[in-house]
Amino acid sequence: MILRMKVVLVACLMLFSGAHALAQESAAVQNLAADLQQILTDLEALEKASLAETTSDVTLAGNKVALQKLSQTTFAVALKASAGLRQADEQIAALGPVPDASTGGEIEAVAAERQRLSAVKGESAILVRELERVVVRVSSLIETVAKIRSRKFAEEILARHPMSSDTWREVRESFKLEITRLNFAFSNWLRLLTRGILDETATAVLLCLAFAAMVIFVVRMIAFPLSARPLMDAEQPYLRRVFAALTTTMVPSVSVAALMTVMYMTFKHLSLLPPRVDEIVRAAAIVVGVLTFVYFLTRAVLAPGRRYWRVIAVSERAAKRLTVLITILSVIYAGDYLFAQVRAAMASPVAYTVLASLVSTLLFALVLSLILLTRLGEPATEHANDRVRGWAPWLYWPMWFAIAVIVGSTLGGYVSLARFLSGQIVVTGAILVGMYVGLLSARAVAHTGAMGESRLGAYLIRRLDFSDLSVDQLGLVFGALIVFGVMSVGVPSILLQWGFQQDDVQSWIARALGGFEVGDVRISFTNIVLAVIVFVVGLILTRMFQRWLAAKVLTRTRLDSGARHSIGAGVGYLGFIFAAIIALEYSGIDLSNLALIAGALSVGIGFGLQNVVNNFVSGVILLVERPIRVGDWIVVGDKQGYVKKISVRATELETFDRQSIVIPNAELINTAVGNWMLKDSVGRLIVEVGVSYDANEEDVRDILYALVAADDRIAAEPKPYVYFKNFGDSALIFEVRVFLKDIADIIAVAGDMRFAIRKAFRETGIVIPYPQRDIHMQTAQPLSEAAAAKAKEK
Amino acid sequence: MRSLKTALCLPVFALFLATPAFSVTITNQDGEPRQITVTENGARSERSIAPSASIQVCEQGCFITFPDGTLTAYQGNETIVIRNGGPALAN
Repeated sequence: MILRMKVVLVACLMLFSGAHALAQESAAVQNLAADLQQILTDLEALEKASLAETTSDVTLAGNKVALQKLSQTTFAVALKASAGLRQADEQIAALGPVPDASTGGEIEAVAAERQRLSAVKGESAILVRELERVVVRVSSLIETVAKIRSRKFAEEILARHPMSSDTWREVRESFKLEITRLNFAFSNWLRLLTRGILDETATAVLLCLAFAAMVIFVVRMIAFPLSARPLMDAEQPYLRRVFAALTTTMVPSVSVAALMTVMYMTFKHLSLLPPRVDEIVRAAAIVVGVLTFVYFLTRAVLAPGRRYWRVIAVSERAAKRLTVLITILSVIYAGDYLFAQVRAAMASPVAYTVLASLVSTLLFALVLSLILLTRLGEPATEHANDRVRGWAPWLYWPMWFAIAVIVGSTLGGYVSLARFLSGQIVVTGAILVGMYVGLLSARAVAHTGAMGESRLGAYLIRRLDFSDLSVDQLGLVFGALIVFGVMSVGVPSILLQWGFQQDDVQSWIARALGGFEVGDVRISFTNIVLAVIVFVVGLILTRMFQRWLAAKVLTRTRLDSGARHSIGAGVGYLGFIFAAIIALEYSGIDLSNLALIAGALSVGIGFGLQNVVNNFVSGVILLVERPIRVGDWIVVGDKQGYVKKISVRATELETFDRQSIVIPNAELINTAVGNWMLKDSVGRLIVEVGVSYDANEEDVRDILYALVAADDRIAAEPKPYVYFKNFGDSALIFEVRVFLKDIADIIAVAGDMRFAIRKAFRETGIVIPYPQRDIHMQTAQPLSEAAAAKAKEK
Repeated sequence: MRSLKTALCLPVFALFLATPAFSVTITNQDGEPRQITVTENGARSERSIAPSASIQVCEQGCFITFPDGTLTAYQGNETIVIRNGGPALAN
């Protein structure tokens, strides 16, 4: 009974919320169904468009993109439908299990609810199924489109248009007509320009002239002084050459390109370009821009006449020849393009295309042969380390082969193939040259000592206390980064150029950069590079912080230099550890698998590294507790000297012989270490002196005290004391026990005191005796009596 | 030049060795091996999961058909268990 009431309550609550939600749900499902219908319609349209025979390659490319988008949309809809499905599932489960007939069955409302939810669930499931089928269909259509495109491309490339007598005849016959037509188009244009609307033309021309003047002014101001560098007749560092080449190329090229654009846009805006003339003028503008760029680039890179600025170190003769040849090549290429645009605009017969292709490809092959025949290097000693000695064999022979293919296919009538090949050679060649320059730059940066000479390197050394070695290593890192950059831009460009699909290349790049798995470890190059960068930045920041600390903060405290050094070193270690940790986080290297190996090795490592870790910990203790500081005079065992440096593992001691002793820190912690300067620099000096038994000991004492008082290196407190030590075998032994103000003076004071004692004793006649012996001889007759008897006999 | 040659090899090496990393984790909590069909980027493939084993599929979203016939779309960051041939979210 109670159960029944509970169920009713739940059901009513659910109905209230459920009614609303259900309305939403069924609306949602209906929306999704509508989406599916739309998707299916789009798919049909695309399918039809792609499979038609007359579809152009451009349309097919567009269709492919559209299909990819469609796939994404479909998947998004599927996700929503799946979510709805899960929701319906959850709600059905919330209703509880179906009570069986024995307890009276279910309340009608709940049963109805259950039914409706099941319906929604069923519809959603069907939707998802349909959507999955659509995704599969789209994917196979994309493959079909790709196949169609390759087929069409192959057909086009291998199309044969032989130069038969028919072609010649057609050219001859239509020549006059074509010229007339062209003439007509241009005279129409001239008429348009000079028509009563003089204003427009005048405005256009004036604007263009003004802009041209400005461009020329800019170019002269910036570019020509740069190229007046022949006056700097000295070997230039490689990067400066590259940079100069870039600027001398970009400035004029960009200016000319801007000029062309402005001119074209002006004329177009003022409607001074009838349709056919428009295409021709646009092509002309592009051609001028590209030719300018190629010309300036060639001149900058090959630098004929300015060998210290040459970016690719060929001989002078080669530079001149290559500049001319490459310019001619680009003129041929440009002329061919322009002529093609004219033909397209005038809808000239195919014969002209064939003729033009024949001429341009043969000329191209000729010039390319001349380029290959140029001797690149000379036995002279120019640019000794990156001198170009000659054509690389892997480039030279394939190029000759390509030339042969071009000539062969042109003569055989396969003009499209020839044109395709020549275009590919030019573009790929340009990319390869660019990559070559990039690699040379990388080598220049990584070269020993090169980084140190650069401005960035000098800044790091001067301002941030980087050592020469670190800057050198930084140069290596930069070099590697440049190589990586060059490769990742150059290689995909070449691949794209040779027809690999853009998204294939993109997905390869994404995989390479985004990361790949080796077993269980995920390695990502971008992450690793980022981690290295983060680490270096962290180190630099630590260094900067240390310097700031040392200069601004610690000078204001009253700590001595040893303490400051300790704090600075401690901050440095902390910074290093932080930088390393953050860099490891960035790199995404999961260390948990390494932990297993580390655990296994840790026993052996533990034993081996025992001492090192001991030393390291002792070093930290030394830093914190500071029983010894830099500059203290310490005694360790039988070694003594001044502390020069306290590092992580060991401490450097400089003995009085100027010998450096490196003592492991553990020894300093575990053994007794005498430090003359721990508390203060006061130390005791004991000078022993022996005085003859004949001397007056009171006098001796007074003299010694006087001597002590005379030396002001001897401290007044604790009081000096002359100690009558012993009745020695040969002498009375006195000790002068004094405390010195600075224990470092001990040798000097002791020596000086001995000098003074000698002097004083000499003046007062006190003797420092040699070792003495009283000898008593046992005889029958005492010696004195024997001597007296002897004397009596004489 | 040697160090540069090595640096040169790395990206090329990476390009050809790259394999994608997967993100939807499926754990088989049943007592017997289960077969699922994964439709990713329009391509269907069959995967088999041993009992109490986990596999990872789908870097960017896919459809998965479970042994009990359930077909669902996943975004690429879910963790799923198979119970009685059907899917359930792990949490």
